[in-house]
Amino acid sequence: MVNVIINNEKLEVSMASNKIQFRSIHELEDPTLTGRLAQKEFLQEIPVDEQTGELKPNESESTGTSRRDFLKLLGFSTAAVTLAACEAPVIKTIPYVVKPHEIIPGVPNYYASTYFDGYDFASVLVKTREGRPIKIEPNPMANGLGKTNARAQASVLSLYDNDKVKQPKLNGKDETFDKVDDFVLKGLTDAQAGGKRIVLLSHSFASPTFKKLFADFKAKYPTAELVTYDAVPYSAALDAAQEVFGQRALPVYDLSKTQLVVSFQADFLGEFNGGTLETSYAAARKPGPDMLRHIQIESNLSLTGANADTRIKLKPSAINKVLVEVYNGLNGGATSKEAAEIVKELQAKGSNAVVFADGSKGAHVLAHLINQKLGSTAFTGKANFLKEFDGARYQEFLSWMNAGQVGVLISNNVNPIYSNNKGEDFKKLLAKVPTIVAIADKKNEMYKAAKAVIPVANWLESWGDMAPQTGVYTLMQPTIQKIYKSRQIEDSLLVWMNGKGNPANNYYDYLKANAATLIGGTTFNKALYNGVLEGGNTATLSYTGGNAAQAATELGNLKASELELVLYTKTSMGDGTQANNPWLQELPDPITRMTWDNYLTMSPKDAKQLGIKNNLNARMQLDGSKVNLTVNGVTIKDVPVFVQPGQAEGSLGLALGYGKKDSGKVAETGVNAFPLFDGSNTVLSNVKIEKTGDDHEFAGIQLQNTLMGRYEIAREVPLDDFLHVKFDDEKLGWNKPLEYHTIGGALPAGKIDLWDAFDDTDGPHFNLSVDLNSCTGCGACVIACQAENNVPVVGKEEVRMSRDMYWLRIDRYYTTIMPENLDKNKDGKLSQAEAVDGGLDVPGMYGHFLDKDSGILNHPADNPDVIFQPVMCQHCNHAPCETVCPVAATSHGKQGQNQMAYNRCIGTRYCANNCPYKVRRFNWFTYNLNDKFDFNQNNDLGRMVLNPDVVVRTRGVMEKCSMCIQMTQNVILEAKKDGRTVKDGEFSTACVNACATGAMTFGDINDKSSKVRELYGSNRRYTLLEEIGTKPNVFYHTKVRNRKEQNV
Amino acid sequence: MSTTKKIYGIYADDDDLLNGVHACNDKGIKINEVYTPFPVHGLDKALGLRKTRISDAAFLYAVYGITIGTLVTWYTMNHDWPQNIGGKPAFLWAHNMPAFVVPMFELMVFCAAHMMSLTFLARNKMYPGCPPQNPDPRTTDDKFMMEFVTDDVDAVKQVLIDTGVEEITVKDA
Amino acid sequence: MSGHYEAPIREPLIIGHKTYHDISNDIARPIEERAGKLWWVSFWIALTLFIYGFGCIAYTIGTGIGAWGLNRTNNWGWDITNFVWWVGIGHAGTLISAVLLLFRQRWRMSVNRSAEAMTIFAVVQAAIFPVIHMGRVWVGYWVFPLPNQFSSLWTNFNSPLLWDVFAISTYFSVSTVFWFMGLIPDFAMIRDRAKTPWTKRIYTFLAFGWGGKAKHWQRFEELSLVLAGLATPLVFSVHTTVSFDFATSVIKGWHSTIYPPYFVAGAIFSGFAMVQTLLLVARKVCHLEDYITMYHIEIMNIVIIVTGGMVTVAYATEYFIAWYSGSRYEDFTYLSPGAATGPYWWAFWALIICNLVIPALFWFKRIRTNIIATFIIALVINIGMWFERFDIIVINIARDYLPSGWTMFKPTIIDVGVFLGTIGFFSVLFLLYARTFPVIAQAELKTILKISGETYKAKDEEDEHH
Repeated sequence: MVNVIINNEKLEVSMASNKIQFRSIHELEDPTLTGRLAQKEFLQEIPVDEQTGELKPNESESTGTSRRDFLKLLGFSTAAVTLAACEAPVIKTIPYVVKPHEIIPGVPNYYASTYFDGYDFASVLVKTREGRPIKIEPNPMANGLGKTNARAQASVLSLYDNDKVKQPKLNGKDETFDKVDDFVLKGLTDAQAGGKRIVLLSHSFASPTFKKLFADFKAKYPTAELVTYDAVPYSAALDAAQEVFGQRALPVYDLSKTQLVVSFQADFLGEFNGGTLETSYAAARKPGPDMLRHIQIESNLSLTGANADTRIKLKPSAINKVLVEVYNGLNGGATSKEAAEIVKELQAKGSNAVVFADGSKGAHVLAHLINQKLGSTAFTGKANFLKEFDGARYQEFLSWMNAGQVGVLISNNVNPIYSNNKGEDFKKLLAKVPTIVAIADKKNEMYKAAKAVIPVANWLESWGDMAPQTGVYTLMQPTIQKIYKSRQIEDSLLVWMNGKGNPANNYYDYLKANAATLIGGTTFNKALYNGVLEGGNTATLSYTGGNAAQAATELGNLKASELELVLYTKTSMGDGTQANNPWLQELPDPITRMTWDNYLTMSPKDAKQLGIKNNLNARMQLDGSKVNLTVNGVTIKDVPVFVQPGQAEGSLGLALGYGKKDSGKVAETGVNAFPLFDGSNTVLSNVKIEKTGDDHEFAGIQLQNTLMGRYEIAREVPLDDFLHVKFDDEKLGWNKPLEYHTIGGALPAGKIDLWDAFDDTDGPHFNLSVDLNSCTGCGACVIACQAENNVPVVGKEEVRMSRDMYWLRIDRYYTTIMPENLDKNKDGKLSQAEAVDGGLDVPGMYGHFLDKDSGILNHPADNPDVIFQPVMCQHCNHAPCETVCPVAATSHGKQGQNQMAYNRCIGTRYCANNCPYKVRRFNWFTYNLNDKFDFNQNNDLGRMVLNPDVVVRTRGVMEKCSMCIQMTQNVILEAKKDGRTVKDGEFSTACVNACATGAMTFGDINDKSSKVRELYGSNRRYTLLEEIGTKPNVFYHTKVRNRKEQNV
Repeated sequence: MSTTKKIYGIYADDDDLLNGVHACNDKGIKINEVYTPFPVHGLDKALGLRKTRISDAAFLYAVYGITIGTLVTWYTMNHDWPQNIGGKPAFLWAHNMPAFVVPMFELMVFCAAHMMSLTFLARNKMYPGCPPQNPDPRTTDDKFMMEFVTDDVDAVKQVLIDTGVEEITVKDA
Repeated sequence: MSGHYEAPIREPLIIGHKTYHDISNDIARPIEERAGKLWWVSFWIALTLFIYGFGCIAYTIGTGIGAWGLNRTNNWGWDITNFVWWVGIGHAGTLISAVLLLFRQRWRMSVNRSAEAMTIFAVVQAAIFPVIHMGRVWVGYWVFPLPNQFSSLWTNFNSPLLWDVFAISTYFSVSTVFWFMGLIPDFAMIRDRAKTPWTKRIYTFLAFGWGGKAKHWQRFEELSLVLAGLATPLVFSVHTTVSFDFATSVIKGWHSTIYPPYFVAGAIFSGFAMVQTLLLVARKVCHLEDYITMYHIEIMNIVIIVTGGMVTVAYATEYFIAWYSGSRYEDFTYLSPGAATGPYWWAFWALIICNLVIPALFWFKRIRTNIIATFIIALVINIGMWFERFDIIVINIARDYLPSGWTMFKPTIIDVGVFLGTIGFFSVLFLLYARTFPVIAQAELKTILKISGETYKAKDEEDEHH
């Protein structure tokens, strides 16, 4: 490929050399014109020297200075002064000496690739500008596997991480690859000679070509062993799979046809079996007679639980019991009441039902057996190969180290010292290994322990392939030259295998050759172009075994105790691989809405009992007690406690992946929970906590958790009503259009207008549809928006001042009273009494001055329903913000956007005050090149991620969602160039692209055939705060809850 | 050489002054000017001064101001670059006018008040640092002074004395 | 003459047996005497505050509005609170001199000069805030419809903020002109008795050569009358316009048709309170007891009772509507059951107590004729009116439509500094004024000496007996 480019450049140059360009038609007629013009800029010479030089008296005539000359000079100086007075800073740009063939400045290039950082996987498109990757988009060809979550969206920023290891090292000093290779090769040969083992300790790496490469490596060094180590290894799931399916691969489910899913602790919308099921889940939850019903039995309030129709909160030990009972129930055994309910529902749905369980091997086994029993159709038989950890083998490896049999240890971007409860032991064992080579991306513990260090090449800088799933094969290609002196592990292995300077030391060739055997007919370039195709590993899964009795006893082994702990991974952080990514650290947790932290989640009841306080300060931010957490003798100090409604009494939750030392400034937040994690069981019993007495300062995005009875903001309706009651029914209507009562009788709010509306019927008029029923709250859109629109990171302190800069936020409300429980005569309006019953003690809700304890968090009921509502600028046709701007810095576009002219803004902030949706964000400080905000926008490297199509806002101006006008304009211009009309689906925005569940739809409402127009007609449609008469261009769809009564 | 003299008659009380003025009127003696420390009521009538017209001027200035207001709002908002601002009608001034009432009113008051004051100063020939126009400093404190320019000094003197003048000064005109 | 008569039952407006000359002496005394210790002490305190405050402003402009306690939901806090508060204070002056002049209220003559001075100085303070609250002060001039290189880049006349620009600047300049025109004859008086050459030069400059000619007096009175006629609607328009900032918005608790009259009443309420506060001091310091009599003080207290009553009614209405509308949003407006018990309960009750409960004491004659009580209550009202603006601005947006956005505002040290700074600036100006300006419109006052002076009233009565 590289060669190809060079050829093309040559071609370009040679062609350019014999081209004549005419500047005008006159020139065409008279080719000499240029020459003449070139000699004189002005047809009459300007005697500048005389002008500037001293004029002797009575000589002025002879200088021939005419009035016109003087005027010219005057014009010059004036122009110069004007230019000098311009506000825009002068930025030096260096043009291409020889323009690369495929790069046209200003036009983005997209490359299909594979996002894999050792933990997350996605087949993606990488958007590059002038050779810089700036955005990750889903790969439409890879449907299920092509979806991007928040971490995938943010991964492009990790490429430009300034805290990375930038240099190969030897004994802590900078060295060339050459020297390091010498050292490693010596180590390898010595080990070989001494008959010692050579261990490559790598994260799960489902790359066929890598596997083959290692086989070749092993051929060269027979004592070489590949050992897999993952921070969050899914080993319970894998062991269960081993038992039930006879192979270490996780089953792939498809919920699109399913009608009932019962999940025990399984966060299958977050991470479960190496992926998320949100896409097929959302597909199955389209409101209708056979809409998917979701029952979640869990301890923490997980993202999945938040989306459940019915959520039962129990402490882990109790959940295990219920699971066992459900299994017995299905096999005709005795069960408790709750279990019986679930069994009944499962049996009713039969093969259309599916059960998930997580937490321990036993749980997984039982779930598999139940699904087998049900003959669940959600089980596709496909396998997910992304997770490869094998506990037994790892233990074996440790024993090798202990016995001093390991001569060389090559760690591939893993850090067992940090991410393991046996970390300290591991550190000790390292002493017994003569040669340690760390392929590390941060100056972490492994880096320190190693003699030789090779920087990790980011996936955006690497070649590679993956076989993530049965019959799926994806390719990874570099989209930028290596930023640091890094080298991807495959190239290192090649060097160490073939020796230095060997022409075969080129993984690109190696991959190309090996891929040929895997991609069947298609050419490598075609495969590269698509990024994903059929092939790779074709193994499938089928039920072959599974010991229920053993599983049941294992589940029984988790002894019930006062407090039990559930370890989980956050939507934003995962296993902590990208802990140094400021976008992800600031991304609020979908449930707690807290940023920059992990914390112990605790139920309000327990908190009251244990005297744990969560109080709001004078700026309505949270201060929470800290505790020392002890589990089986291991203690973690100063863990902040977050009082979480919906947390099961007697259970606690704590997120993994935080509290990293030596991994960059940003990563050093929160506490490290790995010391509690044995690599297998995420549920722990026998937990003790003691208050430390001091408080922790939380930084939250949203502190008011309930709707305050304002149910019309985030609407929901029970499925039965949705199916059987007309939406605008006089009495029972669940989505009645708002009416104003005027002298002329009741009029629909939409029809009332003080003035004649502007005509926006010709050309596109954009509308955005948000379906609350499909939104799972995963936050991918938030990061996508941040990446697309250069939204700055403000840091914990500023978030604590409630000055986050998000253009798009996902509000999370705890709704306690379901609409069906409301007195319908009051069309959903709450009486004080009802409110109090529902735990919405109205005055107390925002802190009663007589009762200091009544923080916000006390009030939502113990087990609230959760509803997510993405809110971005509503682009009102009657925008309150536009009217009040004294300098007309924000006005309405013909396409319906509420446009913001940053460089006209003088920063009165009146618009933000007058915005009923509070979506406008003000630049309180300079957020770029300012050491007070030392995040990606403060260093040249981090600023490479900025989108050149969107300006970086200066201090003192207002900013907000633009409906990605840079994207829509681009589409229009493209269509114009082709001389065609824009097809529906071409218009899009960053958030819409990122949404894995299709909750958002964007399009032209003037286009009769557009999807958004169809959605506009839906009976679930409503606009936010319609009564204000802002006439937004964004509309929502009512959420439908699939359940009869409030709780099972 | 002429016999024309300037006569200053100083009264200690405004009522006496008024009497003096009336007396002079009866005698047909022309009063050149009267200086008082404060506006003495009825003095202008007694002297037969015409009603001042600066208030009429003020009205014109007000009209001018409101015209400016109308033109500026129309030109900037509806003519030069009409925009869709909050959906408000921007193509016809008449439709958009309610939003302009305040600035138009303020401009009217602004022009009227300032230009009238300037007119006042101009008509009085007053300006910053202008030397005092009153011949005797006491007239701004508690003395009331009549100024005559006449040939018949004694007649004037007589009238002044009759009306209880406090002090008389005679100068060559 | 008719103008010369006033009912004997009316209390004299000028006490003591004064002649015209005495009046001149009394008015000129503070200017001619050297400043006392008290004056210097208060001047230095004021100056310190002033400098500190402007340090804070410089810091804000240097680092960004983030130096204040604002956040994404409360985009206005103390800045606009202080702005409205100062503008409100700047209402009594022009009202006294203009409206009362039209109503031929003679008692105004002793107080209007100082009241106007206070007005102008207060408006200066008010004007500071809209300027410094801008994120980009350096382009603040864009609020004027200036021709520019982009030719078609104009201001937005739909914006209440722009209306403010016009209203405040007009109000400020017109009040200043009105005030200065009134000063000219008094400057002339000072000029004509000035001893030292420098004072002579200065006051000659300021007096514009005034000589008190009959025709000039005629024009002068005409001018005063017309300016008063213009200033009267102006006074009402200014705070109406300020109230539009809120009334024309869509934010619940702001979006209220009651605001214009209610704001004007509130402004006069606070304005008179401030006049009381200052005059009671000036009266003592400059020995003007004979001109600013108990009658003046009481009559102004009565104005306070009236306007305070209007404000009370407005509060009651707000509270009632908040409840009666049945709107869940109205439940959390600044005057609502919600506010009374919410996190800002202290601000709510501070407002009620300072503006409703304590001023009600003025209903008792013994209190409204007691100098100390008047002084204290006037101060309390000033505090109460500050809280009113704080409640309106902060409570409403802190608890607006979408609960997810709810936050709370807490000022930073910089917020406080800026506010204190304006108080210092205001005091500096007023102290300088008290030493260098004729604090009472003596020329006007002399016209009523014979009508309302103690000596002459007594004489009149004797005449009646015979």
